[in-house]
Amino acid sequence: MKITADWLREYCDSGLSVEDLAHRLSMSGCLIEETAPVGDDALMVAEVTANRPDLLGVIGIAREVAALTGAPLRLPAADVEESAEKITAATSVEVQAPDLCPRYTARLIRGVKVGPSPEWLARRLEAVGVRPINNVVDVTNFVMLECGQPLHAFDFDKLHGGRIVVRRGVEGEVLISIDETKCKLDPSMPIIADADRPVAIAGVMGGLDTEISPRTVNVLLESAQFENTNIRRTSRKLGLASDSSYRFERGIDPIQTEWASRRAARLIREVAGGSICEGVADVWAAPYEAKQVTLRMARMSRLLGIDVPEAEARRILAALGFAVQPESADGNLIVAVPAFRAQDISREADLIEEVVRIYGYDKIPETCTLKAVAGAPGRMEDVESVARNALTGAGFYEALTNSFCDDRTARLVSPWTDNEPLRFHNAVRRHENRLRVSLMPGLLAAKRVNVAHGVGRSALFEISRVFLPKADGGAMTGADDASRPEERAVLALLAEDSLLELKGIVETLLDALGIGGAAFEVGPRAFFKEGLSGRIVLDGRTLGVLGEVGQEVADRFDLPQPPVMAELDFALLTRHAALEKSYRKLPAQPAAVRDLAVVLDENVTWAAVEKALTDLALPILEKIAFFDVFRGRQVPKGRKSIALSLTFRAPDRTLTSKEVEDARQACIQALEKLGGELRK
Amino acid sequence: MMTRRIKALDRETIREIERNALAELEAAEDAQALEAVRVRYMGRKGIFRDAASLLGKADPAERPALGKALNAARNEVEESLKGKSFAAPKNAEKRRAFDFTLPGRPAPRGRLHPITRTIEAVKDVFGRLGFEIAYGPEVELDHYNFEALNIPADHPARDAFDTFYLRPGVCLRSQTSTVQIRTMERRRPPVRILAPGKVYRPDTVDATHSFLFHQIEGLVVDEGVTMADLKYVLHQFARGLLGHDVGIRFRPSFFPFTEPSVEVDVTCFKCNGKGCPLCKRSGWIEILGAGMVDPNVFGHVGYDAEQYTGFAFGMGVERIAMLSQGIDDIRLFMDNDLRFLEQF
Repeated sequence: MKITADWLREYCDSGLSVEDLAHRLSMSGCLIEETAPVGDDALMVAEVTANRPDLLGVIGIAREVAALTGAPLRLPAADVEESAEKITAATSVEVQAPDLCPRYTARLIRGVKVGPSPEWLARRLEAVGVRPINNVVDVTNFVMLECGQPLHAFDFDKLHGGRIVVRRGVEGEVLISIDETKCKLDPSMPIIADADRPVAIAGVMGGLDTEISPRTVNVLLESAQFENTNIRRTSRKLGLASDSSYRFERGIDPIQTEWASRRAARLIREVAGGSICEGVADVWAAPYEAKQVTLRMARMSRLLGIDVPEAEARRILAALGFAVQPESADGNLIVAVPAFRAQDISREADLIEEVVRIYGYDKIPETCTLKAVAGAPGRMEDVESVARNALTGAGFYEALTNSFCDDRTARLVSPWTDNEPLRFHNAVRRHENRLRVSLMPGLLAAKRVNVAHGVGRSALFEISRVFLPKADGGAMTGADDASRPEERAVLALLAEDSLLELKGIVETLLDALGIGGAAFEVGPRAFFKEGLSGRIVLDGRTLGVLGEVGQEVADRFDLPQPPVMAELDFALLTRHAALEKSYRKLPAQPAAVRDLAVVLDENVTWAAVEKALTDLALPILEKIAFFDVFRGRQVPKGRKSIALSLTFRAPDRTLTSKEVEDARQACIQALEKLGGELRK
Repeated sequence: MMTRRIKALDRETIREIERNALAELEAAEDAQALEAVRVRYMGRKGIFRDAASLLGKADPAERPALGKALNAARNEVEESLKGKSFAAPKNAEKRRAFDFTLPGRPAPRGRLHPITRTIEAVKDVFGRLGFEIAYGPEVELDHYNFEALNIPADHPARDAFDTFYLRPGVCLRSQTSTVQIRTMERRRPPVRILAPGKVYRPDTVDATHSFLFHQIEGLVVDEGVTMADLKYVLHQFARGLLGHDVGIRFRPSFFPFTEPSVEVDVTCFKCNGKGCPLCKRSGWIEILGAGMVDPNVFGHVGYDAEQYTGFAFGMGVERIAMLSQGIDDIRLFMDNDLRFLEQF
């Protein structure tokens, strides 16, 4: 909402400078975003919140200044000199849709001379960015900006039958609006019609055919109230928004409707001549009854933590246009809400805000009545923090990727569901309109960005949610909690190392979280390479997947080198994490360590080696550690050499070399049973 | 160097052992070489041990004298060893000088995302004030995203909350205030929660707008909670996050779910309130919205608005991260360009 300082001063002259005015208004609920000089006046741009339609007119803002400064509010003249011709004889108004049009007034001004506006009027409009059109239209715009009531002027002689009918649109009806848009009307829309046809979309825009032209002589002036939500829907449906619809959808003051009609008629006569017919055609089914709201001073103190003096509360409310009953019992004020605030004020809490915003938030002290509480982070926070520390410590960068992806990407990999990824509908994101079911595509896209920028090796991780539909595609219906998808927190990793190194990272993470017993096994191929796709199982449930990304997927993300990736169910990790540590006594006896290298067939896994040794159940065999695998010269084809290290220890004594050697031999024999051969 | 294996022990051999040991000791240039000498002569399988084991094979008459000589030689070597090991390396200047200006070998170090860092910083401050973390779904029901927050259908207040819809009644939450409702539905006061999370709005993407961003919502409900408490808590928060000398101020505003509603400004952290381009010369920067919980919201969750009062506040994480770290483009957060991420 644009106003100028001079215009504002016409209705309330506070004597404040523009800067002070802007500051006081901003600090009391009418944010002045910007001020700028225009000629010797100053433009002020107000950001008006959706609850304050009364501020969409200069008078409304002037009322705020009056309440803030105590300077009087002066309303402009709106009395009219009328001719002998009675309006009832000249025209009529019929409202067939009172639910969409609570009040409709019409005045008739005959014999106007349409032409350019006088300088004062044109200048005032131009100062706030409104293009002057002609004197009659300019007056309707001026009065709207002045008081917030949208007005419309019809060329009376173009109205068939010379009358107004407010009704619903009829299917198939079409109206060309003054901006030359062809609007298809329907019964959801309120329209203004004459005897035969629509002439305006009520509250949104007038029709081209009946607009004021240089040849217009007689003017029918509309000032009306249309129902808020319907105007909003109609405006959206037609894709037509105007200064009028903006105000109507926020709500206007139905009492002022008639005042604005007089005010505009008076100004039209002043700037375009003519004579005003006697009276107003006014259809108002349910005149405004002011709501009475009780404001308990004690409640205000309880909510604000400060005692506002009753006299001050009364002064503020009165200055804002509220009628406060003079007597109050027990500090309870009975307050009548004026029509121009009826949209916003209906409860005690609303009145409390009215008082305090003028009284000043700066007067509220900082006191703390909140009890001290020893807050402790939740389990989720603890686990997340341990995981993040472990991964950043291992050199991983945390990424933040898009929750949306396109259809093909969404279906690329889904370790957690076979159901079709959820889709939303919005013109802004027409292609990326699926909710992700895996974080891995997001990390691949992040990797692509880095490859494109020539950033070297990068290891990435993310902990975030994926959206798992509970049923397939079209089967998702309903709007209750049961029909929402499962939002599962998962952790994804991307690295450029070998799969074994990635597994090491996963193991490091599990170790940091105190999770033991996870098994790694060959998994379904998913989007990984054949044979390089694994699954992690914990307690019989899939904890996650890991593998080396397939070449075709890497190509799709423009990655010359397919990275290795993993994705883990973070909710499951959180459930199994054991972050509480307990101390184990350090061994008092020395250990004996023996290293072995054994040549085995390719198909003998490390797990088999480990099992063969643990199955021996040697009481002194404390630890079996893997060194490395060697293939090459000295190792026959189809065989591999596994190097491992055995730690022997007894808790109560130092082992003799014979004991250690016997145990070592037992191990060697166990490995020989697997087809192993000791390498020297 | 002593390489010959001792077969028998005599005085000459003992002298030779001693001579060699001292010569090798003298030649040792660093601690490592010195240690090698020590191990070779004095270790468990060292030369002196070898020699001592041959004592038994020596002529019994010679044995005491040989033993004494061996001991003396051993002591001599041991003393020299001690002296040498404590001496500063005399030959240090002969070695190549270490170039301290060479860059060290970097240890791998990952980073947290700046959004995580900001959320953690905010959580940390409110955690100290006794707030618990609460979460809610990102795919929300219209009811929680709007109606229960006192935002009726077809109300202009919805303009500020454009929303992605999956189907009628189910949307992606456009604010974290939804967590207020879900939390209050689940439990009775006192409530003191902080709810960080992602929110979604179909905004056209530019340097300051994204379709996905993060908010942190706070809610306190109890008997006797006042706006003075709100001011206290938010000032403590501002101090905790931005430093002790930061001031705050309340400006009236409008949110459907609070009444009264305020925007909260903090002293501009760039110019300390003197006025600069960042704060548009006002000296203040808006960082959050807040207010006293609207009685209608309490009505939706079945709290008695006469018995309980409460306050709520909400802030944009990207906005705070951008303002406090001078980041000029919101799109950087989701690009995951390492050249950006490694700056934090």
